[in-house]
Amino acid sequence: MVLRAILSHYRRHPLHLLSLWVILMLATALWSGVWSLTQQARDSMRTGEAQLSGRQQVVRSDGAPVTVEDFVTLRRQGLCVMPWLEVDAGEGRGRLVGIDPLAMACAGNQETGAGTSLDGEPFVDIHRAAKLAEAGHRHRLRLLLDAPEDLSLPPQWQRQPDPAALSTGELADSFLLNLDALGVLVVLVSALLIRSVYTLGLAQRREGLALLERYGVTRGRLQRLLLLELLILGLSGIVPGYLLGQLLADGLAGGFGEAMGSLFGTPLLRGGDTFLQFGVTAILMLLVTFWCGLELLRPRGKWVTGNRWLHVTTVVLMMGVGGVLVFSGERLVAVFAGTGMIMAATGLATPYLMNQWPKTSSGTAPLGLWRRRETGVLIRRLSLPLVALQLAVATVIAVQALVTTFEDTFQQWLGQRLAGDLFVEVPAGKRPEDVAGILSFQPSIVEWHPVIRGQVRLPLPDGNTIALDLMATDTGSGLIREWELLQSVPDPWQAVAGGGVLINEQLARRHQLEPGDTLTLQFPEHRLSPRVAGVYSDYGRPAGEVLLDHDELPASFVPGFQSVTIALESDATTSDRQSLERDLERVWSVADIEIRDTGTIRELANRIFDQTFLLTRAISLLTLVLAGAALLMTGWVALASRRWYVHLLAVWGLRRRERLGLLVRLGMGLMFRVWLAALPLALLLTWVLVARINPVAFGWSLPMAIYPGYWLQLLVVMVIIGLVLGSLAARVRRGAPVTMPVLTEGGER
Amino acid sequence: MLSVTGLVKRFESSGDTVRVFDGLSFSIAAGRSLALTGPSGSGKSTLLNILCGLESFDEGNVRLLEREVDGLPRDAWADLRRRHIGVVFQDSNLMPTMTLAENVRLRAGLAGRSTEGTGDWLERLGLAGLEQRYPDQVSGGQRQRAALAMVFAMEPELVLADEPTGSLDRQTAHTVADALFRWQREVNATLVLATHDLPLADRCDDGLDLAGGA
Repeated sequence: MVLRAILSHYRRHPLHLLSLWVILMLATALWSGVWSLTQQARDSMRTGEAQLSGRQQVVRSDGAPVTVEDFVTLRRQGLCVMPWLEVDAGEGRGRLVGIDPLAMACAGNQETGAGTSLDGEPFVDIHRAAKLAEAGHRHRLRLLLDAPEDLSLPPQWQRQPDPAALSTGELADSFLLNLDALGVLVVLVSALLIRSVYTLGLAQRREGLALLERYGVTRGRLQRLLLLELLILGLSGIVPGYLLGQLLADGLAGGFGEAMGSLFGTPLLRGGDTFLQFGVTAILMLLVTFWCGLELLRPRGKWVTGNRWLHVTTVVLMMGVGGVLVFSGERLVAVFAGTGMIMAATGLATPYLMNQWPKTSSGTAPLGLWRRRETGVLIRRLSLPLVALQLAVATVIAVQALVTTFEDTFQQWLGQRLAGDLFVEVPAGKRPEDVAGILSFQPSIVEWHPVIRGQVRLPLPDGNTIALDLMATDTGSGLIREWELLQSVPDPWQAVAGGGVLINEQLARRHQLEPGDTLTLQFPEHRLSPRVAGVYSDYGRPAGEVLLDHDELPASFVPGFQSVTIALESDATTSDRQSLERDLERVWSVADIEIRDTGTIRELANRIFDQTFLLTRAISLLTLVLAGAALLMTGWVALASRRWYVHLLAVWGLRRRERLGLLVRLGMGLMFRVWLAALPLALLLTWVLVARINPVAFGWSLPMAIYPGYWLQLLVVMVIIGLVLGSLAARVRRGAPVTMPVLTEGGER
Repeated sequence: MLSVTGLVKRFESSGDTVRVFDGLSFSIAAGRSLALTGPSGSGKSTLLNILCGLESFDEGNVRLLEREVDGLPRDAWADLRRRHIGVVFQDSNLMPTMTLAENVRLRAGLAGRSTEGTGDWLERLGLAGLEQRYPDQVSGGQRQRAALAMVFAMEPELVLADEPTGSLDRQTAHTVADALFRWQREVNATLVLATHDLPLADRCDDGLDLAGGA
């Protein structure tokens, strides 16, 4: 009977119950969706690294692609060679990787062979992948080798590092940590929203609860029943929310998997421990729900706490500690923690600061005064959802600025790197110089340069060495000299032609190198000590890289990969290109070479870029939608509790249109304040993302750019929310009977 | 000033039609006061709401301030309330976010009256020194006197008071009623007052008992 009396609140206020349930469900969906994807990504990387670490691949010495016959021949010679057949599954389903369990077993991967860790997509039995390849799907066969370094191969084949085996640990961890941080933000925003809706309802129920206490129901029993109510509510929202989250994860998995494959060479393994995922989600969201009910456990008469000095001290301390962590933290976790503290401190300070405006603003019109004072009440009552919306708006602005800046910078960078029209991979065992004669005298070719890639080692002060990527090219080429440098000595290209090197930003940051410093490069039989002539930006990968003129390479250097970039005359025809292809095949004595348009590569890179940020954009926008919708609902409830005072204005002769205008202006003004309060935080977050998190996580920074046009778009959205809020509040008054307020519902000032 | 003829007001309640008034007729001259009495549910508040246009009626004729109000648009009703009709409820007549002085200024400003002398009204009602207090910082009786100050400041021709002393102790109720009747006589305003309090009703010039409908 007592429980029925308690629950009768929701019979009178079904919207309140619906708001709580919807927010809880959407929050669960958002968090569990993100978490599910990041867990799958972590599992995939762990599995991929475990399977591929230290492996090499076998390539043919004549440059031709490896075939099944190569595999059979090498296996018959007793070498542990494993086929790895990548096939485009088509229809946007990503790629499949065909593996041979028996062949993998030779490398001690019996477990893998039995299918316990590489089970399910994208890993399939090689027969299935082969069928797709035979059906005309794009495919590529690689032969992985798990054998000691000193084991020699027959002369027809050579070893090469397996590109998929490169360690991506740090970059991948940073990538996933970013997503984790976004997930935490979702939980934080949701917790604020759920707590605000619940406590708003609790204020409405306080009279009824006090009445039950007067009837003899003990406070302890009331608390237990209310906690039971929260438990039921929590579970009823968490279960469908989790299922919705899995649907969200499924929907985003395609693009996310593609981004993973492109960034880290690791396909996304679907699945995972459903029981664990649901368990963690349920526990977390129940904790959030019970946090909302903490009000219930306060002693009587202490429903509202507020010590201004404690409040101010907390804000200042959190800002200070957060600032120190953000500005000087060397680990990503520290920067995130600092950012979180600054956001929390901003959240604590915002309602107070927003409330100063109504108090200080001038204007003597009585209705203006009324509107400003009512705004102050709403700011206090809606402080949690307003702060949640502020955080969401700031995050969306910062993420948009990061992605757009990155997109612009990336486009510019890509344009410089892919300055030519054609990209030709030099077949294994051949050299770019072999075709220099053809390329230099082809009338359709404006300019060309070779690119030789490999690895070199950098000695460290502690006596160890680390591997660096090396890129050697003709630094006199006009295509190369278009590169923009972040820092340089005067006339850097001249310095590089004279034996200097350029280094990428990652290397410069990691080892505090600047133009003018001397760098030691250790080749197997040789050592160079060039001066750093400049630093260039290098997006999308973690490794340090050094660029030098190809004439400076020691003769003993073994390239890992070689290519030629070619710029054509604007009137070059298809037949010019075909003739070039035939000439290259003839000189290199290979049957088939692939000439790729740089435009196609640029398109692919852009697609990968979009996929990489798809999840980030989607989550931040969904968080904004959640916060906006929640504010609309809570604002409606809060304004409805003030409807007696709007009714008084009607009694005092305000026309319906005037009241509507007043409430709409009130709602829009409130949203404008939230938008304004979000801007400084958005600027700070943008700076933290581009200048702190990116360099710490990925090794490169981005220029700080702002996009006021986007701010204005968000302002329009916010103003529309305010418009709807005001209109809804006016609508509530017309239809419903108006009763005088009890103190707890609307009497506060 | 005010005449009601054959007023019918019906409510739908749980599928049944309830007739609150079934041909109610009365009139009151300018400068007089009328007490509406009757038990709870007899329609006192409904009648006051009809007389200020916050509720409609089904049949009959109401003539108010020299005009027929049947079919009067909402905006015209709003204009009447804004400038000519003062309304006092049992409680919650003040905006809680504004001081007593700001409340009075707001009401006077809406009525197009001067907001200069609002302090005088509060002083006359014994609220000197409390002008800058908020409604929750004064007693119930002081709040009701501030509500009267708001009505007085707008200088209405008709005052509709719904249980204006209903939530006050006897002494305070007496003080509030004194202030109301004194002002009403001073400015020759018309007063319609709904009350359960028979001594208060006796102070009015006329009385109308709504018990059992009229």
